[in-house]
Amino acid sequence: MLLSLISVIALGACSPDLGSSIQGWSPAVAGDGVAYVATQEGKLKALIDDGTGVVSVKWNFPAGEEVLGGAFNSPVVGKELIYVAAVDGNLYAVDKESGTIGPKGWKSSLVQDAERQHLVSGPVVDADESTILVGSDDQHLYAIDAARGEEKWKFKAGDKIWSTPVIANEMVYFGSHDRNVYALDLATGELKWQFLTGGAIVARPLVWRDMVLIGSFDRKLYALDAENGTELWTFNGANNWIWAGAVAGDSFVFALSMDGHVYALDRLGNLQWDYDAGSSLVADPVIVPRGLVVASRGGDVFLIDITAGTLINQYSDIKPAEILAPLFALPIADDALGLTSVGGNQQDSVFVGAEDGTVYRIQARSGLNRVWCFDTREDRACS
Amino acid sequence: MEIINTLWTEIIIRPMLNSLVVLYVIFFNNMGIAIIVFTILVRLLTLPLTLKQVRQMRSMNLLQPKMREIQERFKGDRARVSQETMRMYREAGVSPLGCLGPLVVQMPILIGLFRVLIQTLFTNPDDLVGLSEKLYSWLAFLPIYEAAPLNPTFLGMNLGAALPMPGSLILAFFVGGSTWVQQKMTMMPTTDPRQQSSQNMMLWMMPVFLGVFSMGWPSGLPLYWIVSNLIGVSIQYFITGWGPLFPLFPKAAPAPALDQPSQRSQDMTSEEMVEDESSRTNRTNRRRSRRTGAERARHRPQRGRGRNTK
Repeated sequence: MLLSLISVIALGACSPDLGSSIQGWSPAVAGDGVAYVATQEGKLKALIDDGTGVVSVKWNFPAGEEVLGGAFNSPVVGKELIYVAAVDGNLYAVDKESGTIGPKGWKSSLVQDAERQHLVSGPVVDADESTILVGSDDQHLYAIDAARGEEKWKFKAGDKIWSTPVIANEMVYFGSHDRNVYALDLATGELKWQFLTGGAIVARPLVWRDMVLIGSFDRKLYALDAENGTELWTFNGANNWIWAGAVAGDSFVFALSMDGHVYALDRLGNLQWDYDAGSSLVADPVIVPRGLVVASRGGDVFLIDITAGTLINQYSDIKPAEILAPLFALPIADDALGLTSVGGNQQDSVFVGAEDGTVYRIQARSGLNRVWCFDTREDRACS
Repeated sequence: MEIINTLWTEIIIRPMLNSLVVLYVIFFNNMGIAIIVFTILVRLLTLPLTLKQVRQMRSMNLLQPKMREIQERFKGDRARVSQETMRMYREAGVSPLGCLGPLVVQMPILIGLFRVLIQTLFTNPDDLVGLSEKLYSWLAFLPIYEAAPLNPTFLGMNLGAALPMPGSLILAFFVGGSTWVQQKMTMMPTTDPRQQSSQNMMLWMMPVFLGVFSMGWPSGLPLYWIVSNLIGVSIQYFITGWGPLFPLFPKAAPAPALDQPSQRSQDMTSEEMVEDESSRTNRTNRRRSRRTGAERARHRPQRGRGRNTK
């Protein structure tokens, strides 16, 4: 009895998992020659990226000893502000130049119990950057005024919202732990339709060809009519949860499952090819001019031909660190966002945040080549 | 280290985790019931070991007087003491490590369950990602994937988090109290003042210690501990009856009648002593079971007095 007691108590005292602090997943984004990463140390860090392979820290937010608690999903880069949904339950709008909240930024608390509730969902900004939407652990989807940080409206789902919402056609789409896919009016938050799946939803939806495509914990990818929520087709070939958001090219949509497979489906849901990445796929993938880039939990980055489903190249130097945070690539049509390309064609670049605190910019052309790596824990280039 | 980690995960963690999730799915997505049923199943599986442990501990306690005799008789000759002690154990069919054997098996179960409960009840994204990879794909005919994230609520408690006050205090009371009862039932009365002191210290220290620590645990763990203790009490009752549980708080030292085994031990071998005590206990239990509660109260031996008062 004594031995067992001591072992249980010792385990409880020593276990890193008991009541473990939530640190986020190091998501990285970029724009205007600056890369931004929400670190597991609880900072939003801006890195000046001149494209030559050398990066330096521009600023840290918050300064000093204060921390945000990290982020699970990607911040959003606006014209003057960068928006991040933090683990501490707050949505921050930070001035991109100064790295402070300053006169233009703000901070908005979006949970009711900051001790136990967090923001896991990422923020999304509408086209004119007037409204920000983000889901919360307190079961609400919040619409926040982007200029003032004040609540415009909120919608209560049946359970936590970890899914990053998507805006399209004046509607906002998202999923919830209550197994429903929701479609709301963007201006008022009025419920347009909801669709019940067989499992919890954490994936970001994809709006493609008038369809809303979203994966669920019931291991299925659903294609719903974007207007009325009617089920058009369902792909049920995955063997584990679908956590990552789907992405689409011209002809195919790509769904990633935690069974380690990438599934390419046509617009009718027919399987075209299936690529085995070897370990769980959690990070949202990206499409670059050369193909589809996916990152596995095992620490591998794959560049896959989107037509044939064959491997073009693989980058494995990040191992054994896990990759869970969404990947980021600059939009192919970057002129529309007024983004300039600095030091090389950033359209080919993918930004990867790893669980060991390192951030990579990898160029995806004929192969996958590292442009730079930065260790956010040491604040220096990777060794 | 990698191999040990893999073995630990595949042999202990994954079977336990999947069992818990299956029970959750079967019992109406109720984690509290799943934990209770899981605890019962674990105790049933380890019942042979538990019974062996109880019997070994009893035998060891009964041999204490003989042990003291050997130590006094061969004082100064450590080798002879050791030799005679081992002979005594052999004759009685007791292994000094017999008490540890079952514990060594139960410890991985305890530690594993501790970690499994953490993995299944915590719902931050990191824990949830890890959970999916530990589920057995061949169990997919049951809705184990669809069950996640598991609902940690049971009787108003969040089984994945420590209860706020005063809930945690109430739970700690039951944790400590059930531990105390089980310990008291397994204590063998002794007239040795040193042993009494040591026993009393253990009797109170462990329940208090455990109760205090459990206040910081996710409430699913105290639930498991309480249920496990209640099952332990039940097993102990069927083997030895209430034993020394009553009176709950004895005032005086045990009666001289309880010294009789030590007087008789000079004439009996170790094995005979263990068998004799075992059969005496069985006869006592059978007599007790035929009596009503009131009759039992009249016939309960009074501490401080001999059975033959004439």
